Amino acid sequence: MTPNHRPTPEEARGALAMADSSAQQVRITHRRDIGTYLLLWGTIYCLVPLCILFCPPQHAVWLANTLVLGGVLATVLCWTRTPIRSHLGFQLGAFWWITASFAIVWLIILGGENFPRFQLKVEGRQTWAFGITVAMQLYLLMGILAHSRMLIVLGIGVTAFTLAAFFVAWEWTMFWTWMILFSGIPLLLSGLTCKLSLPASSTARA
Amino acid sequence: MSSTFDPLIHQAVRLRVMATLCTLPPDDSIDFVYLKKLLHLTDGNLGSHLEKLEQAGYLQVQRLHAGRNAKSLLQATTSGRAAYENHRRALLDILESEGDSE
Repeated sequence: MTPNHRPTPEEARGALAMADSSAQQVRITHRRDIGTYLLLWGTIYCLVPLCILFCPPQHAVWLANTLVLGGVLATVLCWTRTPIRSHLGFQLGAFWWITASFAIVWLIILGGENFPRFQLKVEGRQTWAFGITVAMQLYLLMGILAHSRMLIVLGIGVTAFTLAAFFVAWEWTMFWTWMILFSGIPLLLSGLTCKLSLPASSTARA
Repeated sequence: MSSTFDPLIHQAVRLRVMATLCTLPPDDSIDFVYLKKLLHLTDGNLGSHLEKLEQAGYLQVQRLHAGRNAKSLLQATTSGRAAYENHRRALLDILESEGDSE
């Protein structure tokens, strides 16, 4: 093609169709990548409450911690293997983990014997509600920065349902069942939607 | 905003490369191997087109070395994104002018 060549309308139409097709394919890959993380954490958000509900207490905490740690390691592994590297996601994720770890360490320090005035008695429901609501803030932040309505809805929705479960579902079994229904399953369904369906339109983002 | 037809981007493979890279958020990058599979190209063919785009300043290549496996990550630059948008607009203008003349 010479520098002064001007494409015919047919050529322009073909070029635009080609560009749109490539853009669409990469959107699908991006969406499926997000789906992997949602499926992973949706599964963990279902399995941990199931462990708490059905395993003996001495094993439940150990199993729950192993599941969460496994989820963290799997997330890092997925990130290193994904064909699309999200630097924003990495920076936000790193910032979130540092902040959340710092908050947990701080709570332990404040709750220790050296600080009797601030002594805290943290039980499983509080820990889980804290963990999920803080995790959902990461979803919300990423949703806002990446213009993803799905992540924004998940971030706000799961936070609201978790708080509702904490303050309304007093009964122990009801709390953990509620957490499966309103935090684990929504993430699983969103993950499945990302994995299986195509974007609604060429401009849709995951 | 002015629309500028860009012969460098208009070549089919380079157009698809730029469309792929510019669809991602500005800070995101894409793996060379994935792009090769997506566009059904060979290493050499894709590499030669990427070199032209890199020389024009439209994309940057980050080469990572993890043990035996070398990995290349590709990212559209700001000027690359602007050039692609202008080119795309120019193509749309051609279609619009066709509509006006009918």
